[in-house]
Amino acid sequence: MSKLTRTLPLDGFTRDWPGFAIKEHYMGELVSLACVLGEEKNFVTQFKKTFGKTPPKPKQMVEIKSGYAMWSGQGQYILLLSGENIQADIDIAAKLKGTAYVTLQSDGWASLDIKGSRAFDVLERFIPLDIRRAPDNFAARTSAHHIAVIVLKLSGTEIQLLTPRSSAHSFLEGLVHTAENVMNA
Amino acid sequence: MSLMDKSKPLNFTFNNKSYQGFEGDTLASALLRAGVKVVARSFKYHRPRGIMGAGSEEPNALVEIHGAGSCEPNRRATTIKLFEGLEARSQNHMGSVNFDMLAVNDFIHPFLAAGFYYKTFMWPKAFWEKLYEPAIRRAAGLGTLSTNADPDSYDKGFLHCDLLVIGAGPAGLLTALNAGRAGAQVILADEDFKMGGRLLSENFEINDNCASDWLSQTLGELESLSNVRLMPRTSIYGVYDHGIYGGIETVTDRIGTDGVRQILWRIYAKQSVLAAGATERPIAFANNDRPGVMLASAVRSYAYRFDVNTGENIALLTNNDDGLRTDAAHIIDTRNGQHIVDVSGRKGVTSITLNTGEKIKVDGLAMSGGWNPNVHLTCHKRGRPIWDETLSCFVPDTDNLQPDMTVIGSANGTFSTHGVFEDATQISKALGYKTAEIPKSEDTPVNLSPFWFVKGKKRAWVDFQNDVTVKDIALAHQEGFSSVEHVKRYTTLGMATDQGKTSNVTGLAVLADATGRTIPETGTTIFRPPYTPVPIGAFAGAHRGQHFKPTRLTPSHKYASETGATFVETGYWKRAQWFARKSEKGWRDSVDREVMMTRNSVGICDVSTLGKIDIQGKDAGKFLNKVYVNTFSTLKPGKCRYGLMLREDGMAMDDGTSARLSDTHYIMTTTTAKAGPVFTHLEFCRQVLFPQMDVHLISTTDQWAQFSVAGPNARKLLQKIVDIEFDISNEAFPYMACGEVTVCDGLRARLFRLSFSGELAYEISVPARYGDALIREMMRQGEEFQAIMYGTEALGVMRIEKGHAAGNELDGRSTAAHLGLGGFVSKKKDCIGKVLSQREGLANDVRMVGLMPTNPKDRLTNGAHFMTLGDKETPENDQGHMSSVAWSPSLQSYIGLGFLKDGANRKGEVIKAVDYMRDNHVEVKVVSAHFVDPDGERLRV
Repeated sequence: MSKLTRTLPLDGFTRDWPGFAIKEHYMGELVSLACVLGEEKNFVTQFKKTFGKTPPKPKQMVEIKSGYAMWSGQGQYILLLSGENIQADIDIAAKLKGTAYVTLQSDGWASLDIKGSRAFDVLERFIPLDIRRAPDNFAARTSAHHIAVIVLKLSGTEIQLLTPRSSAHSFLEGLVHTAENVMNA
Repeated sequence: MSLMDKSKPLNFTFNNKSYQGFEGDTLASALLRAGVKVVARSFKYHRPRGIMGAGSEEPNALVEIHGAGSCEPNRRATTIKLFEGLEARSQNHMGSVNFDMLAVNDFIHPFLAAGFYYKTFMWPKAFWEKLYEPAIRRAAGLGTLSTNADPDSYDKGFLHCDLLVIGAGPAGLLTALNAGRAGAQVILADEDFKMGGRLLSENFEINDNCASDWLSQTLGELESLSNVRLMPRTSIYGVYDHGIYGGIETVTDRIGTDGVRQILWRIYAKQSVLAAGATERPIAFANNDRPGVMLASAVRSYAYRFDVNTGENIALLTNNDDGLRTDAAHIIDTRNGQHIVDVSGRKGVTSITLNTGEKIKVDGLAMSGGWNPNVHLTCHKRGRPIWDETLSCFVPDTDNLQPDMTVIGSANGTFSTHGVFEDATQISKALGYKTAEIPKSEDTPVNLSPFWFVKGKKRAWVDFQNDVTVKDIALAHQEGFSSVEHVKRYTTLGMATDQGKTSNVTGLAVLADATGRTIPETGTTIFRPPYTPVPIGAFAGAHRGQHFKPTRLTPSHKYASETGATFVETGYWKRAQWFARKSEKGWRDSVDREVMMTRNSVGICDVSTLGKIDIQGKDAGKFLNKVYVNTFSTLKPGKCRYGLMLREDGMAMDDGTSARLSDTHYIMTTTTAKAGPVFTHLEFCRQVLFPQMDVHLISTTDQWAQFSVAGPNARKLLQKIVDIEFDISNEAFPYMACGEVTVCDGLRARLFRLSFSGELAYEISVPARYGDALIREMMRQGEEFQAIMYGTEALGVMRIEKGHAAGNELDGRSTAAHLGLGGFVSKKKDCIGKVLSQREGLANDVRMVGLMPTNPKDRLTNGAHFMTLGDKETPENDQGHMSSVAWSPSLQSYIGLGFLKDGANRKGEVIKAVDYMRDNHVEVKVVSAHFVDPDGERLRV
């Protein structure tokens, strides 16, 4: 019996236009945290101990040890951790000492890197948020072409989009279609 | 100040005749330059019509654009930017535009007054549907829609700004400049392809120079500001709540273009300034619709902007000083007691007759009845315009407008250029922007004496687009319609593509005269979106064809595609329906094989589409007790339990199994169809009904690739996959067990011993990144058992054979009792839907039963109604209905599930299954719903 090999949701899709590029990349592990009711203060303490930062505020992404954290709902956070560790949820739950419920979500999402000077010209035709004027390290959940998406603005020319794995093909088709519309104008 | 580039000629056709225009032309200006006077036929009377306006207010010159085998009707020639190869045609005529056989309507006009079709064609009654209505429909209407698919693509977009300036006339431009210089994020949108508003169409001076100098300097500076976005050809068509504006940008008018033709923008603006200008209104007098009768402002537009002379010998009819700007050979000023009583020249004005009896030969007539501020967008925000007696027009009620919109310039009743600059400066200051020096410009006061229409026996047009005359409005009043809203609907005043831009206020004036009231007493209509027509294609945007809706793919999709799967859409999912083999003649061969091979050895089905909800928390068990009819808090870790969920009204909502992984951790599975609704329901319960509970929900449907492995050899196959340290024997891992395991040398996985097929079965899940690899490995390891993949059809057949309810049974009309699950409803606890599930009138004697045809060759059909043998087949005798049917390869017969009155006590009875839809009436025997292995021995081995 052979060991199983992982596949990316979009088979590592990559495409470039002048000033705009889409690239699927392996993002590491994505873990959801939900604070235990009544443990809010302890959660903040344990979070700081574990990751070196206080939990992020809404619309904010903060760099933590070995990755990033973003706010995803009231008392809820998403961690993006570099490297493969399929037990990441179990490890983090232990570190947070019972102050949060932890769920592995890495496989539920596809991750796309968006880069280029024309990134916002394309994204304003795809995503309803004002990403152009959002600050760096902006993070928010929204939808595009009726599909959920998490938007992470890394810099003025770099954006990371996370979208559910099962509909990632449709999401990508929509994004490419939009990019072609903008680039062919 | 012509804005034409005559070095760039553009060839186009109109009614298949070739013409030439220039870069900067509209179709209307190019046709006028070419001397084309008749461009359309009117809506009802089929009168020859020429071009009346120069912008989006144009009521007459509606044409079709053709291209790429398609056609776009009802386009205003005044808003079509000329392009090389444009193919335009006139519309609404039988024969040519110059010889329209339906012009006979004009000669029988006394019979075609407003509402004539309500009063005629009443007899004989049978003729209405077969003769009158088809004939009227054929004759009525304007252009013809193409029946081909729209060859163009449309897009949508989202913009955000501090300030949206609507209209790029002098007021809008100066406001945008002030805001742009102050660093605000500004969008300046204008429906015209050239910005400048009336500055393009008048010979004004600004700062003692030609206005075009100021215009190009201002536009140049605005273009240089990175925080300012200029959006020409973008009509703001609607204003919505929360600072949202709809804009339609026309990229090109060409049909069949390679790129996007139009973009629908949703603009989020913190503040908007409406500087949409004003529209000149006509005066109603006899035969004022003749080709060559134009708005005075349009005559000046064509002269100054497009370098088109609309006549050598033009007359001007005006009631105000602004009209006097028009270069005319004959001036008829109503303030001097003069007016026009008739116009001659069916296909082009030849003469006018004055009230003095004097007849003047002319080749064109310009008319100016004053200006109506374009208040439309203020109405979208519930503004009601108020009447300004001095200006004789409706102006926005700025005191009662919502604070995020301000109106300036002629849209606010300020008509001099200096005045609109002052408006712009004032609003800029109010918004906190430093202001530029007010440019020096004309400051002519409004000098107008209202003059709306000329009374007379002949028809005088108020609404040119809908052929509504003064007499029609008077008639409507005479027939009892005194409310302007009723008159509008009775006469069709103010409808269609121009939305009454030139007709509404004149219509009100005529109604006011008829009713003896003032115009403000008569009222006004509230304008609704859209301000200008928006193609349906633009609303659809990219959401058509493959982009119409998202598609969800299962982890085994690629493998299934490689192995001959036929896919079916189940919600957004594409699931393998069956896997055909070459030797098989039809889909049922494949399905029968999949069922029998699963029942005889082992089959694998991708069940990742089932909703998977991770439920964690100290109160997770209590929470599940509330949402399921049965108890889950007592479920031991390492065990699964079937659960039924009710809606608040007591009807079954969904079912599935929930597994308990630890004291605080459950995994709920839902049906594929209800995954979303159930999650929403649970979140509502968590956040609203039970906020005190420590429980958290998260969908993990996409996280885990999950496969059902079913059949007598399921365990043997899984023993080759699950790592050896995990004992999955019947003793160690019995029916309804669950647990975390590892597979394929250490990979994290979850195993559930569940069966939907009725066979020994497991569901195994791994993180989705390994889903493709796992299915390939399981199929490789299963070769010795001749393992097969099975699709949703075989899945459906096996669940019917086993008597499991699914979507057809959980259709929102069934209760727990109907499903034979009444005993599941715990008496020891409360749950959502419990009380209402026990209410009277739910016919809880209905039971889900099995049905078999008495003749095995008879086919059963879904939806058939049950009748007792001997009863008449009437609704009163209806005993229930068939909910699911299948051909059972195990029993070699059709079988069915259905809901039957008193079903629990009718086993063995023969009844009729009556299906009039498919003309299929079959005698069936009522049997147990569990056709295969009723005692459940197979799944427990």
